[in-house]
Amino acid sequence: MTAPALETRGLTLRYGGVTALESVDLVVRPHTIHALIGPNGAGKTSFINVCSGSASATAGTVSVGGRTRRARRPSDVARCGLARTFQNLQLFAEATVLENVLIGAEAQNGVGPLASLLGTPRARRSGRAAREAALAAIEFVGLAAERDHVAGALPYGKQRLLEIARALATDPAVVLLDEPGAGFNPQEKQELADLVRAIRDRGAAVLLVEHDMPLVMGVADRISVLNFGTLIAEGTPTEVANDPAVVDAYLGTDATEGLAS
Amino acid sequence: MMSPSMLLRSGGLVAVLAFAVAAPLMVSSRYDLGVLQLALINALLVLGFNFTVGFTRRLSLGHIGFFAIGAYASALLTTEHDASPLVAMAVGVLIASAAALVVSVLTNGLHAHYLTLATLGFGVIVQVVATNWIDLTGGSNGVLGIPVPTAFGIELVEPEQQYYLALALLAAGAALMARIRSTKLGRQAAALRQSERAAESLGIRTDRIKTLTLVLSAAYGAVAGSLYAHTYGYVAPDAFSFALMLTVLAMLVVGGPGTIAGPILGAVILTYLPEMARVGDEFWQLIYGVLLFVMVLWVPKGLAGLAQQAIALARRPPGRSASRPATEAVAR
Repeated sequence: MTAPALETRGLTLRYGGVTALESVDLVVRPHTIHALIGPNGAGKTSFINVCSGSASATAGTVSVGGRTRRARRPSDVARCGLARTFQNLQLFAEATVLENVLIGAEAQNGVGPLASLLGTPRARRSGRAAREAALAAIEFVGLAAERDHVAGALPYGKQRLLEIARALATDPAVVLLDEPGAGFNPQEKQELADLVRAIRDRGAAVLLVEHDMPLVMGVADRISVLNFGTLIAEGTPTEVANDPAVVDAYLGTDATEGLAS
Repeated sequence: MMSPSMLLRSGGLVAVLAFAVAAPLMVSSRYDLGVLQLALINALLVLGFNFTVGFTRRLSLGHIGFFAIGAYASALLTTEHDASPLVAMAVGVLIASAAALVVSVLTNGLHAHYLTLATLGFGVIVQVVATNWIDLTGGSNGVLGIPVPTAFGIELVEPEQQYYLALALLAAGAALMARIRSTKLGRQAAALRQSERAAESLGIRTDRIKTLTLVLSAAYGAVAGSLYAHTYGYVAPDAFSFALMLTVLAMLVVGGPGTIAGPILGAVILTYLPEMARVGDEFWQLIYGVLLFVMVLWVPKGLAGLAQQAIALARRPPGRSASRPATEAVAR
C-alpha cells in the first residue's frame, strides 16, 4: 500500500485563546483530487499554512509522501514534495512566464551556486532538463503562446494558470490549490476543472481548497468539510452532499440547490 | 549569430572599456587622475552593494562596515606584519565575508526597516571599533604609510598603474556579477526580491540566498576597501561614516539598482559631481538626499532603467502595444 501523499494527525493550531484547528486528521491519497471545503473562518487557510510550513502547529504532525517532518520553513516542506498556489497571487511579476516556471523547475535540482556559476557538465545537463520541464509545464496549463510575456502583464486568469504551472514544475507529490477558481467565469471554471483532473492523471495528488460548490462537486474524488476548526464530514461528493450534518451546519439551502443542478 | 540587441550591447561595452582604458591619457593633472581612481574604487564598492539592495532588494546598510574591514585589514597587515598587499587584500576579503556570515545569520529573519536598522548598527559598530580600539587601529589618527598595491610582484608606484589595477578589478567584478545574475543564484535572488513566499514555496532556501548575496557584497566591499587603503596610503575611521553609506546608496539609486552598468554609472557620476562645484560636504549630502528622493519617487529603476526604457521605446514599431514582450515591460 502506498503512503498517503499528504497526511495530518491530530493537527491543532491555537493563537492565544483562539482555536483555528482542533485535532484534524486528514489523508490525501495519491492520484486523488481531495477537496477541502468549509465556510469562511472554518480554518481552511490555517490548515494550508500549517501544511505548507508557513505556520507551526501547536500539536500534531504533517507528513508529505510518507515523510513526517518538523515544520521549520516552507522550503523544507516543498522539498518533501508539496507544492502550492496562493489565493492572493505570488508571482515573480517582473519575470517572464518561462522564467517564473524555470525558477520552480530548477529550485530542487541540487545544482549549487558554484556549479551553476562555473557551468559544470552536470549543471548544464540539469539546466537543460529544468528548461524542458518548465516548457512542458507551460504547455500543460496552456500558456505556450505567452511563454515570453511578462508575468505581471498577463490577464488575471492566466496568472492563476501560471502559478499552477510553476508549482507543477517542482514535480510535486501533492499540489495544494488555494481557491484556484476565484474570479473565474463559468467557462474558465470548466477549463480549470479539466486542468485539475489532468494534474491528477499526470500523477500528483491535489488538495483543492475552493468555495465554488458546483466546481468542487464536479471534480473532487473525496471531500473533507471543516467547520470551526474541526472536520465534520468526509466522503465522496454524494456522501458529503447527503450528509445531514453538512447540509444543516454548512451548505444551507442555496448550495444544496447548486448541487442539484 | 548575434542578435541586434546583443551587437548593440557588446558594441557599447567595447566603447566603454576603450574609454576607460584611454581615460588616464586624457587627463592633464595628477589630481584629475586621482578623481578617476576614486571613481573606480567607488564603483566597485557600489557594485558590491548592488548584490543586496539591487538583487534581493534587502536594504542592508552595513556595507561601509565591510569596506572599512577591507581597508583596515590591508592597512594593518601590510604596515604591522609585512604582508604583501595581495595577501592583505585576500585576508580582508575573508574577514569581511566571515563578518557578513555572522550579520546574515543574525538578520536573515528580519524584513524592511528592522533589517535596515540592524545592519546600520553593524556599520556603526565597525566605525566605533576603528575609532576606539586604539592599540589595534591607531584610533582616530588612523594608519599611515600603507604601501602601494602590487600586481604580479611589481609595485604599482605610478597612479596610472594603480588606475589600471582598479579598472581590472572592477571589470572582473562586473563580469562576475553579470555571470551570477544569469545563473541559478541570480534567478533565485530575483525570485526572493519579487516574492519571498513564492520562492520558499518552491523549495528555494531563501536564507541561503540572503547569506550568499550578503557575503558576495561584503567581499566586493572589502576589495574596494583594500584598494582604497593602498591607493591613498592612509586610512582613518572618519572615512567610514554614515555619510559615505548615504553617498553609496545615492550612487546605486541614481545609477539603477539590479543592473550591472547602473551602479558603475552612478558611482562615476556622483564621484565627479562634487568635483565640478567645490562647496561644502554638507551641501553635497543635501544634494544626495534630494537625488535619492527624486529618483525613488520618479525614476525607481535609475538611469540604467531609463536608458533601457528609451531603447525599448525607440525599437517599438508605432501603434503596437497590445502584446508586451519582456524587454519593454521590464523597463516600465
